[in-house]
Formats: sequence, C-alpha cells, structure tokens
Amino acid sequence: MCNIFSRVLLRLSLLITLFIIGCDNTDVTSYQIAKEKINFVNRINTPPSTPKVASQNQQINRVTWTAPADWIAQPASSMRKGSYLFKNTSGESADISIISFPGDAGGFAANVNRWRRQIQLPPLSEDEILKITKTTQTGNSIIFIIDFSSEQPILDNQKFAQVIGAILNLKTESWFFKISGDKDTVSSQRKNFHSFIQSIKVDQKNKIAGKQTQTAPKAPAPQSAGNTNFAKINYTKPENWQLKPNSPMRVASFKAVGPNNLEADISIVPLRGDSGGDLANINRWRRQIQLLPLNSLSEETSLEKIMTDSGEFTLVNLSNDKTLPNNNFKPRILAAIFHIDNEAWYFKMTGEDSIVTSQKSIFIDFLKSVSFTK
Amino acid sequence: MKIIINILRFFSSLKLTVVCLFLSMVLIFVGTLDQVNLGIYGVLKKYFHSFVVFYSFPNSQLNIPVLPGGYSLGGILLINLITAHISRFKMTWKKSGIFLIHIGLILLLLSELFTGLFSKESRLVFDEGQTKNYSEAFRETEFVIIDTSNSDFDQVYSVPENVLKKNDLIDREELPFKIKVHQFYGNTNLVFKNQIPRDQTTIVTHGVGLDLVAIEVPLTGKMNERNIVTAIIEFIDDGKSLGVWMVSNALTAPQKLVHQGKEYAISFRQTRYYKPFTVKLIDFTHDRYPGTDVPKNFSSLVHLVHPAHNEDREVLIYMNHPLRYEGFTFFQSGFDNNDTTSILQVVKNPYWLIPYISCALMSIGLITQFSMHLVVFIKRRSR
Repeated sequence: MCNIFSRVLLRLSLLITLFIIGCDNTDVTSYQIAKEKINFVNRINTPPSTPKVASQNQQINRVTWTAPADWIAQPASSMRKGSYLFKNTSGESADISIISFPGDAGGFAANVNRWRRQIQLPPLSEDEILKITKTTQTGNSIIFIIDFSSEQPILDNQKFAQVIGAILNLKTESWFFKISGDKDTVSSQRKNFHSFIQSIKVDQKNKIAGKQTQTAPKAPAPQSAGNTNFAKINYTKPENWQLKPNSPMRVASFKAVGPNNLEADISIVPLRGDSGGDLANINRWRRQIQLLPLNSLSEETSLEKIMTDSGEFTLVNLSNDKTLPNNNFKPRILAAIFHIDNEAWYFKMTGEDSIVTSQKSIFIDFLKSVSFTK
Repeated sequence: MKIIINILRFFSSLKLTVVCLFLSMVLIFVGTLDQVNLGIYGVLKKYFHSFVVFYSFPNSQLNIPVLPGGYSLGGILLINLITAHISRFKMTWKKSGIFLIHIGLILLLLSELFTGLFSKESRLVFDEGQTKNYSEAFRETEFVIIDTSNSDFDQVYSVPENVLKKNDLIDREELPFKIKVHQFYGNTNLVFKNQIPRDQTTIVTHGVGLDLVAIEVPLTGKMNERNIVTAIIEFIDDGKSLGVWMVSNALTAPQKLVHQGKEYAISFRQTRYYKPFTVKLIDFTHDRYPGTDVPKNFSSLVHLVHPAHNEDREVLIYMNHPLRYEGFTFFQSGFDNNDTTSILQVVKNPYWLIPYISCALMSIGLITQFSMHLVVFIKRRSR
C-alpha cells in the first residue's frame, strides 16, 4: 500500500512541478486581427497614469478656462492640455499652449528661464524674475504672469519674439499657460491673454467612487487650501512685501527684505477645523525656533488680541536669544491665528529678529486689511 | 523502502502541519506589513506567488532566502494533507464529515494554485459609443509590430515584456525582422529633452523618442500606480539596421516604420487579450445621492455581439451584477472622463467554481460531523 502510494505521490509531485514550470508560456506570438484604425499622432501619458478604480478616493483639479473667440482651438498634442492658434489678417500667428506637470515641475524660476532660453534670453535669478512678475488671483490660487521679448530679431532674423506666460501652482501640479510668437502679433493679443488668464477657474474636489470609501471613514487630517474649498481671503499687500510663488499648503507667500539683505518669510496657511488647537500650533512654532513647549496658553506671555473688521486675531511673538546653528541668526516668529467657521487661518512671519521686529506694525496693518468671503 | 517510509512519515506528520501553518501566519504578517512598500500586487508576487521569499540588502545585489513562499507552503500543506489522509485515515461512516472537510480543503488549496497560475485579469476601457473586442492587462506589457499592409486584416507580432527584458537580440522566425534591445527600463519617467537642464545624448534615430529622455525610476507594485516600461530597440533586417526607436507604454499611439514598401505600426502597450466577440458601450450612468458627490450607483449599458453564436443583445452591467459570458466575467470597476468612459474588470478564471464547491463540501462535512456528535450526545443524555 505504502509502495503504491509513494509512487503515486512522487508522480503527482513531478507532474505539478512540470505543470508549474510549463506555465510560463509568455513568448513571441503572431496573430491576425480585424483591421484597426491606427492613429500615429502620439502623446505621452506623464506622469505614470493612475487608473481610476471605483473604490478609489481621488483628488482631482479641474482647471477650466474660456478662450477668446478669435483663437482657433487646435487638437491637443504632445503634453498639451489645450492648444490654440491666433492668426491675424496678414497671416502672422501666435501659438497658445496650456500644459500641466506634477509638483512644481522644477520650480518657478527654472520654468521661467526655460521660456527665456526659448527666445535666447539669458536666465535670471528668482529675485530678478519676481521683480518683473505680475500676479492675479483665481479663487485661492495666485497666478504669476511674466512677459518678455527677445533682445535680437531671432524669428527669420527679422522679427523679435515675444512670450507671455502664466504659472499656476496647485497642491499637486503646476499649470503653464503661454502665448508665443512674433512680438507684434503676441502684443496684439496681450489684452486677450490677460482676459484668458482671468477666466481660469480651479474646481478642486474629491472625487469619490464606490461604496467602500463611504463606509470606511478616515480619521480627520489637516487639509490645506490646495485640496478643499476654504473661505476666499482678501487682503492688501504691504508695499515692501514681495509676493513669492506658493509652496504646498500655503495660499500666499511673501518676503520682506530688511537691511543687510536679511529676509523674513511670510506665509498664509488655512487648515480645516482647529488643527490641534492654538496651543499645539504655538508649541509647534516654539519648537521651530528651539523653544520649549508650553503646558497651557496662559504660560505664553507674548499673546495679544488684535481686533479687526473681520474679527479677533490671536497674535504671538516668539524669539530665541540664541543664534541657531542652521540659520546663523537669532530667530523670531510673529504669527497670528484667526478662526472662521470651521477653519483656522495661520499668518506667520519668520526670520531674523531685527527684521521681524521692524515689520511688526506692517504685519498688524496687514492683518487689519484681511477679510474673508465665502 | 525505509527511506520512502521515512519520507512519507515526514510528509504526513502533524508537526509539519503546525510548522507550515505557523510559517503561513508569519508570511501573511510580514506580507501585510510590506504592503506599505510594495503595494498589493508587489506583495502578492513576492510573498504569495513565489516559492521562496528573498530579502535584498539595501544598496547591495545580495539576496538571501528568508521564508518559504506561498506556493511552497501551500504545496507542502497539500502534500501533508494528502499523505496524512491516505496513510492514517480510515474511511468509516463516523468519519465521513472529516473526510468531506479534508476533500474540501484539498480542493481549496488546488483551486488557489490553479487560479494563481491560470486566471487572467484585465480591464476593458471604452468611451460611450466605442466598440472593443479586446481587454488590456493591468500590468503586463507587450511590444507589438503590426503589419498593416494587408487590406483585409492586420498581422500582429507580439513580444512580451519579459522576452524583451531578458534578451539582447530577439531573432525569431515569427518576426518580420530581428530586434536588438539596447536598453530596457522597467519603470521610467519620460520627459522632453527641453524640459530638463542638460540635453541627454541618445542613440535613438527615429520616431518620437528623438525628443524624449527616459529617466529610470524604481519599480512600483502599488495598485493605483503603473510602471512606465521603456525600451530602446533597433530593428535589423539582412544585417542592415532599420533604425533605433524608443518605445514605451507611456506613448499613446504607435510609431510608423516603413520597410520594403510595407507599413508597420510599432508600439509598446498593455498586453491585449482579443475576444471572439465585441462589446460596445452604449451608455454609462453614474447616479449620485441628491446634492452630494457620493455615488449611489454606476452602470454600463453595453451591446454584446458574437456573430458566430448569433448573439446580439444589450446587457446592463452594474455593481454586484457582472456579465458572465464565454468564460469571462465583466465587472463594473471604474469610470473616467466626466462619466463618459467606463472601466470594466475582465476576469477569466476557469476554476472560479472550485472555491464554492470546496466551501460547500467543508460546510456539509462540518454539519455532518457536528450532527453526529450531537446525536450521540443527546442519546447519552436521554439514557
């Protein structure tokens, strides 16, 4: 019995092993199919596309715009999300492209300099670019607009080239809107291009599909302005503050430059809920400048209440007398917290002690200019 | 003879069962933790659809075996169960329940093995009004050369990703020319040359790849990501180069190659599985609860046509109501493009019934066994 069984078992094992080995049937094949219409116009799916699965909770940015009537829509090609052509009566044309990339696509300055290289202009530093940059706002997002022309007649050695570009940084992607062509034609479309930029709308919402996402609620997490609809903020930018390109979480970034080229960074960040409470946030800021955390708000002696037309801001003024090794200066944080409905808005100025101190009255005036609309 | 008896004793021992079950628990535990790094697909491949699990030292080529894989443990458990059953089990009515439970368990293990080996999952993505007779693999890719010169049909030459990866030169009779693989990248980011600071030198001589640079990135096994497979390949006919091309599944359309008056379309794409029937998406519906974005229901109304079987009907596919046809099951899986594109998951698993049968057998076995004990117990008490 044992003998017969062992033979059967050995044969069975051998059969299964051969079976498994033989299952790797991936090899070159050739077959015929009914004729298919082949389109040779190529596009690239970048970044690696994410198949939308029914049970997936996805954040999507729907960026929409309205093109002027005299721009002719072109088929999307290569990476373009949108493409238009303007032709004037004498046949001169300008090309309008709309492209998006994940993340910040290498940074604001790198992209502006890429455009500059295209019309043979030398690269500029970020500070130099910011000086020639104009801004406009769509919802809570700021669009940066740059406008420059070539120094030489590079088009057929006869015409100057012109580029007007606009950059919109969202939380997960950056959008680039550009009109380029010969200087006269592009200039004639400057007004149209600005109207076009004004028409840009960002509709950010979480696209939820499938039952699973509803039945499995997730723990609440702080959400930034990039992925939810916060109140719209209005403010008056102080004259000596320069607008900076946004980083994730921020709805606006500025810098204030003081003597010896010392800079203070100013940020506006909204979060859903109380994001841990005022004490937790003040302790977070304290840790940033290597101060010990507090046990209660009453221990923070620098707290001030600032009353404005919008309501009450809680102002905190933190400094460390020690020079921090990573900064080589004595740091100071001047920050204000404002609660509206279920949102907490954080206004923070960080930098060297003297520059932040000198900016305090300007910072408070800035807070007074802040208003919100739903 | 003694050796065989010892082997049998080893394979039928209860200790082996306990060790295998313990290792299975460890495997599931470690695999679940590693899901954070590898994603579900990566974990399935590394831990469960493998014979041995290897640990790779960071920044090193060294791999050491650390655990038996799912196939090994499942196989040993299967042999253990069969040998123990045959060598120890005596068939009596009293033990018929246990017999059924064991048979059910053996069937379950076998069905997992066969499902792992033979089931194919793919997806059918189509827009409203579009008709398709193929589904596409989620992950596997193929390089295809399509000879479009015949007016009646297209001749497709398919080279699976693995063949491209493992061979520097592919010289097969089936192919119209030789393929020399210069570079193969399992996952890349494709960027335009003018999008990166320095232009890269390239050996590509033809096609859209002239303007592109492939930057290699780590492989991903995550469910919501896919690898962008890219290869730099050269076609050679009669010892003469026909050009070097960049092919990638990130490119949405084929590239054209003309040789000896014939037009070929070359493309790297998700592996296609052609069907003998067509499915047309008539309408995709995505109902939401009023005033919210919360989906209530989503469904695809499709037109199924199979001329050979005189099949011509409309079918509504919606959640938990798949279409089962010709051995394929079409599940509503997703949607895209503002609800105008439907994504169906297409599963072909010839062994899909076995788990049901094995569960039924085990249930009957359990009921039988417990009922027998219950009857004996009641009889004893009544005495």
